[in-house]
Amino acid sequence: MKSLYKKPNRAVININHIYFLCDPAFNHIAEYFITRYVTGIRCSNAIAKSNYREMFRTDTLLMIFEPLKIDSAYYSIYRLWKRWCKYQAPYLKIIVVGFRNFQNPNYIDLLNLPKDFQLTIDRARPADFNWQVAVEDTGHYSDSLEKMRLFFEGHGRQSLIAQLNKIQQSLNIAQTIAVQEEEHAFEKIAKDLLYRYFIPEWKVMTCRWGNYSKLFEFMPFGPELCSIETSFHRISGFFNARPIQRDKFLKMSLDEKIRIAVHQLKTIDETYIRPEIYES
Amino acid sequence: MKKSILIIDDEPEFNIKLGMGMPGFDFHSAITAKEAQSKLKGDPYDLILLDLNLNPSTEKLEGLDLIQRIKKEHPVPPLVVVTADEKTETVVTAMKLGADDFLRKSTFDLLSWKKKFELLLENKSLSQQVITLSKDKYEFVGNSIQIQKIKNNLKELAANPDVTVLITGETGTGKEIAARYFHQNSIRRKKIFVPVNLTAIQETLLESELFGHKKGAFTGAYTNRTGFFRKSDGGILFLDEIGDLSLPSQAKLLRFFEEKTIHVVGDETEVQLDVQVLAATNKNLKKMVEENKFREDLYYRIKTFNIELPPLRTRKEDIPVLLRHFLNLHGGIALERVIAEKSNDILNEYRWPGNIRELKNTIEYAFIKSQKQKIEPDHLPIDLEDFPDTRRTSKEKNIKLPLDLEQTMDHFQLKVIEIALAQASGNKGKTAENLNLNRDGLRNRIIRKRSLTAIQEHPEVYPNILKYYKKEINKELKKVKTVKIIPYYNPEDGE
Repeated sequence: MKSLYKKPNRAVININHIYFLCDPAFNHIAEYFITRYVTGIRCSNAIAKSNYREMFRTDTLLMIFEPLKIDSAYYSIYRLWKRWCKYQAPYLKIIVVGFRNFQNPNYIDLLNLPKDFQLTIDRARPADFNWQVAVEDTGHYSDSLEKMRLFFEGHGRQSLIAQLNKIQQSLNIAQTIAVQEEEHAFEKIAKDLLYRYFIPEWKVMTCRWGNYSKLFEFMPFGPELCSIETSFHRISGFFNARPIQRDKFLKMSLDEKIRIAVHQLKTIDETYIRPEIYES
Repeated sequence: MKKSILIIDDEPEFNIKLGMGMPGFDFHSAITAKEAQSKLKGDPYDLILLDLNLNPSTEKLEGLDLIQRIKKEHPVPPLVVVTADEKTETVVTAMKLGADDFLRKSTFDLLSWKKKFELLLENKSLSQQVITLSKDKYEFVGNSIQIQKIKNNLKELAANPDVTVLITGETGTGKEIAARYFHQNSIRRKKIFVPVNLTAIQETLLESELFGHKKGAFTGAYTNRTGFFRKSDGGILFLDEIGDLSLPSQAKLLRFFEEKTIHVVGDETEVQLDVQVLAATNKNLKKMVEENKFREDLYYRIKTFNIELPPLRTRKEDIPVLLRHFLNLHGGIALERVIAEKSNDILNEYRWPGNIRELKNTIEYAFIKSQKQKIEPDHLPIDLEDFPDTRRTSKEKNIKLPLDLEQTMDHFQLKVIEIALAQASGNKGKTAENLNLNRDGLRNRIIRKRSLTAIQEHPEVYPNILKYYKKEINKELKKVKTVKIIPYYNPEDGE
C-alpha cells in the first residue's frame, strides 16, 4: 500500500518502541499511521496493559492520539499520563497527536505533519518537564484529569474516600460484633446495620463507580482500579445473595478488602489526582 | 451507669453505628455546632467526639472553631477530634487548640476506638482532680462590678514588687484567693507564694515558725528551721488573720516591715530578705488600734493599700457564676441541669453570712446529698431549709424601720406563721403541727390585737395569713370595733 505521508529522511535511531493510546475505534488507523510514518520501529497499543512501569523504558515513546471517544464523550488524556509519568517514568517523552493547529515540541498536527520525525522526538521534552498542550475550550473535550478529580471529589458533599470510609465503618462494626455474637444475634446486626446502613451506602458508591469505570482502562493506574472493581463486584455478589450468612461474612474479610481499596485509591488520589488536598 | 459520649458530627448515622458497636456507652448526637453547644449546656457528657469537618459545604473547618469554645466551657470531659482530613497540619492545630486526642475516620477500627474511649475516660477522673486542685484554689471568680474593680486594683498593685497590701473582708469572702490572684499577676509570679494562717500557729512558736531557728536555740529545736519568711524569699508571703496576732507577736513582725530584715531565733546575725507581704484579716483593724489591741505602727505599715472584699450578699450576681464554677469542679455539669429552679431561687436569695465558703460547702453538701442528681430544696443544708426567713424578700423591705422590740417580735412571729402556712399550702392543721401549736393556739396568735395591728400595718407581707385566716381576722376586727376592714388579699395579684 502506498503511504499517505511523506517518509522521513532519516531513520529514528534512539527510539526502539513506540506505544500509542487512541480511540479504540481507530486503533488500526493509528497503528498504520505510525508504522508508515515512522518506519523500522516497533509499535504497540498501550491500552489496558498491566505493566506500564516496565513497558516505558528509556528507548520508548508514548504517542497519544486525541481526542479519545470514551462512552460517547470526547476526552483528552495526556495530562493525566504526563502526571503519572512524572513519578513513574520521568524520562519518557509523550507526543500528543491531534488535529489542532498548535505548535508545541510535544505535539504533532496530523494535518500538518513535521517533515523530520527524529527532530520532533529530539525536540520533545520528557514527562517531568513543564510543558503542556493547549486544550481548546470548545466544550467538545473533557480533560480526563478533571474527570478523575470529580470522581474522587464527588459532585455532592462526600468524597469517594469519605464514602468508602463510611462503608468500612459499617463493615468493621458488623464484623467485630459478628466475631463475638452467635448466628441468631448476627441476623439482628445484618438487619440493623448491614441492610439499613451498609447496603444503601454501598449502592450509592457502586453507582458512582459505574459512572466513571469506562474511563479507567485509559488511565495509567487503570490496572489498580480494575482490580479494585473486581473486588467490589465480589462484595456486591455476596450481598445480593441474601440472607447474609455470618460464617461466610466473616470469611470474606470485607472490612479488610475495603481497607485495601481505600489505601490504593487514596494513593492514586494523593499522588496523581489531588495532591494539593493531602499536602501538609 | 453508662458513660455518655456526645458525637458532634454532621452524619447522624455515625452515632447510631457506634452505638451498635459499643453498647456499653450512651451515644448522643449533635449535627451542628449550635446544637452541640445547646446540648452541652443541658447535659453532662463524659467524652466529646468532634468531627472537624462539621460542615463540608464550607471551606472552613467549623470543628476547629468549636474546640476552644468547648474546652473553655467544659474543661473536664476529654475532647477527641475525628477527622477524615489527612492533613497532619489540621490535626496538629486541633491539638494545639485544646483537643485531647484525635481519631481518623479513614482507619476506623471499632476495638481500637473503644480502647481509646476507655483510656480517655479513665484519665478523665485524674484530670478532673487536677483541675479541681488547681482551679479550686486559684480562680478568683466573679463578674460583678465590685469584683472586676478589685481584680483591676490587684493587677495594678501587683505591678509593684514591694508594696504591702492588706486584704480585708468578712470570713469566707476569698481573701486568700485574692492574694493568690495578686501573686499570679505579680512580677514575682514565678517565685514562691507562701500562705500562713497565723491563728494556726501557737503563740510560743510563732517567732520560730515565721523567722526560723537554729538547732539548739531552745529546748526541742533539734534541727535548723528555715521559717516562713526565709522560705518566701524572692516571693510573696501571705499572712492571714493578722488581726488575731497578740501584741508581742505584732512587735516581732514590725521589725521586718521597718528594716526588711529578720533575726533567726538563736542566731544574732540579721538576715536581709526580699519578701513581699500581703496580709489579711476579717477584723476591723482601725477599731482594734483605737482599742489598743493592734499596734498603730504595724497597722500603718501593712495598710499601705487596702483591698476590701465585699460580702457575697452585696454581689448576688456572682452567685450563679460561683455556682457554675463549683459545679465545674464536679465534672463540668451544667447549672441548669443540676440545680432545680426552686433550689436556685433559694441559693440566690439567701444572705450567705459565711460568704463564698458557705456557698461552696452548701453546694458540695447538696451535691452529695442529691447523689449527683438534681439538687432539690430538700437537699440543701438544714441551715437554709429551716430558716427560709433569713431570705430577704422585697416585701420584707417594706416593713418600715425602726420598729420597737415588741413590734419586731410581733412581725417575726407572724412571718414564721406566714412561711409555715405557705409551706403547708394553707393547711391550718399541718401549719399548727409544724409550729408545735394546736389549731386554736395558732389562730389566737394571729387574731390577737398586737398581731392584727401588725397585719394592718403591712398586709402585703402576710398574703397567706390574710388568705387563709380572712374570716377570723375580719370577725375579730369587727369585734374590736376597728373601722378598717382588711380587704381580701390575694397573693397571686402581686403586691
